[in-house]
Amino acid sequence: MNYSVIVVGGGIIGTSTAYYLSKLGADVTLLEGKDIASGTSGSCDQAIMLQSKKPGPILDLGIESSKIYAELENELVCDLEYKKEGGMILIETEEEMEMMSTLVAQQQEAGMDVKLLSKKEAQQRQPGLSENILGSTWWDHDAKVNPLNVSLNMAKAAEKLGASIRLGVKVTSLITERNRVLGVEVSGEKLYADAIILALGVWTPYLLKPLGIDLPIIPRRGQILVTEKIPSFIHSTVLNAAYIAAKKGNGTDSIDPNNPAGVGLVIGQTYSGNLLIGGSREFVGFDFRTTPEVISAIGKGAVRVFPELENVRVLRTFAGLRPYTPDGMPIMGPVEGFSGLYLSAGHEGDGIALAPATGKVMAQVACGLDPGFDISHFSLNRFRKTSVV
Amino acid sequence: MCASYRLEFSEESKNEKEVPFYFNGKQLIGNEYEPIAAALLANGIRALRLCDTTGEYRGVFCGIGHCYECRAEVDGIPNVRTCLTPLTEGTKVSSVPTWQIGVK
Repeated sequence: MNYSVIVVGGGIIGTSTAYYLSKLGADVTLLEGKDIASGTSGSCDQAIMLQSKKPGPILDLGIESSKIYAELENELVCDLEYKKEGGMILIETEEEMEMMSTLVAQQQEAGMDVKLLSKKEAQQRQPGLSENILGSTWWDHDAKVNPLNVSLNMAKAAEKLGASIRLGVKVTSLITERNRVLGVEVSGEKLYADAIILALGVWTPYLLKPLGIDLPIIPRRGQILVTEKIPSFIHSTVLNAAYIAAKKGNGTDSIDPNNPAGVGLVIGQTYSGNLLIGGSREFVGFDFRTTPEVISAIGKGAVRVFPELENVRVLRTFAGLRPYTPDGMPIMGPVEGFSGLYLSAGHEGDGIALAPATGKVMAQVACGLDPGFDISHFSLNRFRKTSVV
Repeated sequence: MCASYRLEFSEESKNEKEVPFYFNGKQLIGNEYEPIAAALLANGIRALRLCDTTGEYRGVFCGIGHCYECRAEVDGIPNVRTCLTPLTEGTKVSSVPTWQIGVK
């Protein structure tokens, strides 16, 4: 096959797409402005949490991804620090109990065997939990992975199959001819291909603006803190219900006045023993800074449910910009009116969980093959219809 | 058995209050409120712990709290910088952390 594809963006979505394209035999060039996973994919947590997703297309894509993740270390022959050790969502108030009971009922109806645990059962599963929690959910199928390892190894595997991985190469514009996209321009150099896939997360809208396309992806900041290494005690991924509530908070106009920074708890322990504790959801543009208020609120939330963390030190903090879309679903597929152009962006906080299946599906779509998965829900058209009056 | 590595050159140093403390279970004597690291050095102890990754000895390096080389578990709290933490009577210093979370 002499079919050429340019993938723009070297995050977890772009590298995964490049790998699956190479596997299909396409002539692949991956262009990345900085370095592999230097943006959102390198500034997030390690959770592959499926039970936080509502039954529907995203969950379906997540389940496809989790099947791939389970075999990925063998396939790529590498260590991704992947572990499928389950996940729990802690419930701290009666209101949260109501919200989570409803969600769990929906999930059970959709065939997921998510369970509600009493306080005692939760404490048995997860040592160190406070006496003040009311209970938790539990699902065996949640997992964790090191997103840097995934991105780097996907890129390496693509390269091994013949892909050209070009780092430090910033795409400045798309080359168009009437209703076709022919290639990209990188600092004076013109590169042409049969298909162009844009996987630049929060930076994707910049390349589409000159085409008159207003892509509804907005950066949403998430702050995370890293603690010193401590003895291993968290194996699963632990969230609290406030995290789920903040995640649902849809759009810039429906911000909870009691929790404007969308602080919720997501906590996991890395292979080396450090805790990664998040997170927040804030609309602050392209601002990567961490703030003392939010970091302190996240830390307090962690100590509230794990009182013994009080004496554990924070080593550093960082923030990442999640590519938010108004309906919480990624934008994937061809762009109507511009043949040769494909989008794969806007996964917000689900990018790590969805990356393998996203890459596989988009590789097939861009090669004109049937992905065996209905991606029409993720089409850009869902936003264009409503805006055209 | 007083610290043999101490320079006793000033009159004031003779007025320091000596207190017992423990390093890895062994009782030693140091001056009250001096940095734990100083008390250990005065007892001839330079290796405070082993490096997690290489297994090499680690001890005081910068002495001013920046490098974290001198950390040890102090009275049940892990990773305390001994160069910044004053010695009190009965302080228990341990090279190997015994603190665990979620074990009651």
